Amino acid sequence: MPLNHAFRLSAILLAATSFTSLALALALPIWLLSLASVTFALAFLRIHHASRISGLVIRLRLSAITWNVFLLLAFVGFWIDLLLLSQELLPAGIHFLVLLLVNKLANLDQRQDVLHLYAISVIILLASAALTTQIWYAPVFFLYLVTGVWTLLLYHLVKEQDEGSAGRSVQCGQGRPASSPTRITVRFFWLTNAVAFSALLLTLLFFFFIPRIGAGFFQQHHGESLRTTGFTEHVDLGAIGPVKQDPNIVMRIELPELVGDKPRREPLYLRGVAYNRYNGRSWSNSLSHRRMLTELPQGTFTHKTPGSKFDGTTRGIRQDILLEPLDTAVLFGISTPFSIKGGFLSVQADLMGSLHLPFPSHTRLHYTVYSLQARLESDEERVATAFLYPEFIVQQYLQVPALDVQIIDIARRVTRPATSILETVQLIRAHLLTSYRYNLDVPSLQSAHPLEDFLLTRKTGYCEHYATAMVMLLRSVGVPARLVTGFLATEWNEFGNYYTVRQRDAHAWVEVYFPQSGWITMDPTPSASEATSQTWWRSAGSVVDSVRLKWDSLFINYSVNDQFGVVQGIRESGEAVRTKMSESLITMLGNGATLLGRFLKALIPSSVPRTAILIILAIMTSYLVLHMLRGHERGSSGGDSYSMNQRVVVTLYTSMVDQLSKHGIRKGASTTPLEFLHHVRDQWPEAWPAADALTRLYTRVRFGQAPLTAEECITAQRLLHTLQTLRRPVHLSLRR
Amino acid sequence: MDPLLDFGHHTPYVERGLRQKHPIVNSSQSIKLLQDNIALVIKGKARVIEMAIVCLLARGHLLIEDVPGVGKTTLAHSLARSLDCSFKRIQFTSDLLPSDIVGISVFNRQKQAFEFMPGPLFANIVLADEINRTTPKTQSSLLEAMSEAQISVDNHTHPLHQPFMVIATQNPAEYHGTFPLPESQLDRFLMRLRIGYPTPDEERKVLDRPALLHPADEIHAVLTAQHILDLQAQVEKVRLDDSLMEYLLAIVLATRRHDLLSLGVSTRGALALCRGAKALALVRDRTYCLPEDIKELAPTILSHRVMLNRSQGVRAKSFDQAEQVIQHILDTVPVPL
Repeated sequence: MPLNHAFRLSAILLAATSFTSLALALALPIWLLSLASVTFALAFLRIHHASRISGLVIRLRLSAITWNVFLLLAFVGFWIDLLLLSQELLPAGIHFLVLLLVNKLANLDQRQDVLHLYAISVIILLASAALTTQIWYAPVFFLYLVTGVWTLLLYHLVKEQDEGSAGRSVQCGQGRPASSPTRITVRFFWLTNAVAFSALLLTLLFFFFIPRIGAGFFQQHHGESLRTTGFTEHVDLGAIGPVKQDPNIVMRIELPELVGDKPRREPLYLRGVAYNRYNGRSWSNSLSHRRMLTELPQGTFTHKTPGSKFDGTTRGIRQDILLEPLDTAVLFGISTPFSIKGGFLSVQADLMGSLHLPFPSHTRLHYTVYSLQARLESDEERVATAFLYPEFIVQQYLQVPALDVQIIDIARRVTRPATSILETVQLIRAHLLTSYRYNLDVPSLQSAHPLEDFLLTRKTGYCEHYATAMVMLLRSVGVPARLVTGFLATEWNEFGNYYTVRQRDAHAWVEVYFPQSGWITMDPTPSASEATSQTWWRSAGSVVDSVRLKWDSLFINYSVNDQFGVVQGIRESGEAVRTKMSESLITMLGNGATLLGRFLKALIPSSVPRTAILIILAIMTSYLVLHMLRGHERGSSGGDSYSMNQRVVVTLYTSMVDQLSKHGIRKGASTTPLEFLHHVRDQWPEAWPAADALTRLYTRVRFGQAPLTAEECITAQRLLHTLQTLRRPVHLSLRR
Repeated sequence: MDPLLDFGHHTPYVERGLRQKHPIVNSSQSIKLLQDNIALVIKGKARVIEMAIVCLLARGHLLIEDVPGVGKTTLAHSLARSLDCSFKRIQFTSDLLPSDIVGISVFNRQKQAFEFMPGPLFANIVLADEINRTTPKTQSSLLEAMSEAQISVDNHTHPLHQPFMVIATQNPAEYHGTFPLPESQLDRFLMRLRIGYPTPDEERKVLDRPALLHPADEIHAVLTAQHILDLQAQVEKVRLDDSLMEYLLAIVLATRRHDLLSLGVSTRGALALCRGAKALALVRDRTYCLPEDIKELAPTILSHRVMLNRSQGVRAKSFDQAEQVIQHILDTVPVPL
């Protein structure tokens, strides 16, 4: 392929790549999208001069004036866009950028135009990077890197060729032989790619090893917090309607301490908020008073509920949770969380053990929760139904609104055979599971008595109905219970070994107070027979999701701590290799040579890397010192190693000398400052006071390294100004 | 010891010295005091006095080269008198021996041992009058003492007094019966000065003065030896910017490459210029050197260290020519900005 051809092609490809990234990141207006696409197509066509279509395309070209007008309109449009249409800098700027891109693409004549195109595409790529954290950006960015390397290399070659030919034409055959190729070979193509790849590899190395600043700014606005259709902090049975099956991922939960044993498939109840008061229509929380959790070192907050059996030292089930930004400040965890660790300033808990942040987070949260799962004690069966509960429990968890008598009848009827509290609970749960049908498509209507509707007339409902019904039935037979909302994690990702929780997994269930065991989770909702079909796309989806999680944790959330981790890991493995080497050395040498082995162990494994490091350090240091010394020498002879102050006074002094030379008083290269001052005094006495003061300042700071104050600077500027305004008498200059 | 004229110590004068009236506060004041004191005797030769003081502060030795009767000896004498230092004068003649200036070991009958009798070199300021009249042997014994600041007699090394300064004079006009100092030995002198005739006005002032045997007797010591040592230490602290060092080296390098010179300036010469520039900066009440300091001192400090390609016979002329060459070099080497 001819060089020029390839150059243009790669430039257009470059622009196309960056434009693709932008189009994927942001919903561009249709007209802009189509305009850009058409321009791209035309630009591609124009490269092939030979074909018949391109003749037509070339004839389609607009004049330069038209393009200038277009640019002007685009600029005006940018302001209109900024002030009236989108009213934000980013979209308006991006629209303007795309128009600029279109303009450049249509006028790709000069070599410089390609450079401009390159700059525009870089900005576009950066803009799209700021707009997205999606994984598709990675391949696009990679493509951009490769095409970028092509373009830059080709730009260089074309430039060299142009200059070479220009030089030849001027020098009439005396020019150097044409060394730059005029055609692009396959070998060159692959060489370029190799360069690009190695650059990328190097960048990755830097990425993982060089500390970085926080990237929080760009992530801050990515996707505003999900409007939780599934989970809400208010449970209002009155306003019911069809629940949307929202597949958006809310969180991912890793159970690092359980992964090794067996893949956990059983559903996880991720507790959010609990409620204790029901007014016949909606649930509320009368124990919503929150208190701060005690902060332990290392950012851990412990949660000590009154009367709980565990303290901060207990280690329960560990869950690593990656929570997407939600419009709620609730933190989720398996029941019952007792300590939480994450980058939080403070964590609050209400009296029912729900964890809250002070305000909803706009960024993704990554935190670790330790929970202790309460188990049913075996002697629970022996506790009779007529148990006397503690005062607090009776006050808070036995409240019942004015219900239909039939409901209380149902409760009595169902629990009549029960001999213990446990049995009572089990009977009610079984009744709900068997007699009612789970259905999400509840007709949308405002009901004054939603619970009666569910239990007596409609007999279909979803989790909130089931849970409310169970709590109410339990309470009407004197068993304390409360409603809990949260998420039910059922989707296990085998590839990443974690649970995926989506919006549609929002759930409500019941916690029942048992005299011996405390609060126990109970779920009266029949499991909505979900299609656990392991179709290929489903597993593909989980692969993609696990890759995305890895991408998130490895790249987007890759922090200084992780860098430390990487370096630590490498060091530890190096240490392990070292000890292994020394051990094998000792065994090799046998017992007879233990002494020698010990000596070698002391010498080789510890000191060889250290010596090597020392040598490398010494070489680097001496190189640096040499470099600095050389730079110093060069600077002092060439006048480059001035300090800031010295540079200022030298500038002042030279401008004074220039000023005076305009009036005929020239300073020779070998004239010293004071000699020159004498000249000035002899030839132009009026200018002498200013020149004297300036020269004094100059010599003091330049050679004496005296500090230069701001006042002195201002005075010097004023003196220079006086020199400028002074007029030299004519007869004096004639005397020269 | 006929040729030696011992002026002895001046301690009686110190008690009545100006020092008591004007307590010395800092270096610039003490230097000013010294300058003014000498100027009482040497009229209208401010530059020469300044150069002599620079030489003293730079721990150098001074060669005064001029026709007789312009005040060479008086300058040396008044400098010595202004300091509370010991001063010896040696009149160099063709029969002077090294032991006459260095000292001699004499057998002491009581102690049954040789005893070293120090010569006139054991003084702070030594005036070597008409140094080119003595033999090279004696010349070289003096020059060794000048560079080493110590002398060796009978395997014993005797350090000389500090500060130690030799002021030598020579007469360029007479050549009969002289042993001119070779350039390699001239190198030991920090600078070579000419005093020159005074202007008629200045000469009148000299003539108007009441006739005294020694005009230098008028003045009293204003500084002690310790003052001078302190000032010499201060010279070391004067700042010489890297760019000025480059400038200095460029000048030195230019003398080595110049067409008219067969011998350029030695490293000792460069060192002398560096030290002299610092001393001049201190004399001019600065803590840092300027390009001026180097440019002004270069002819004085460098011209006797270079050898001209031709016309080596006529010394007076060669002196002028060497100065011209140095001046030419100074006009071509760019001053750092």
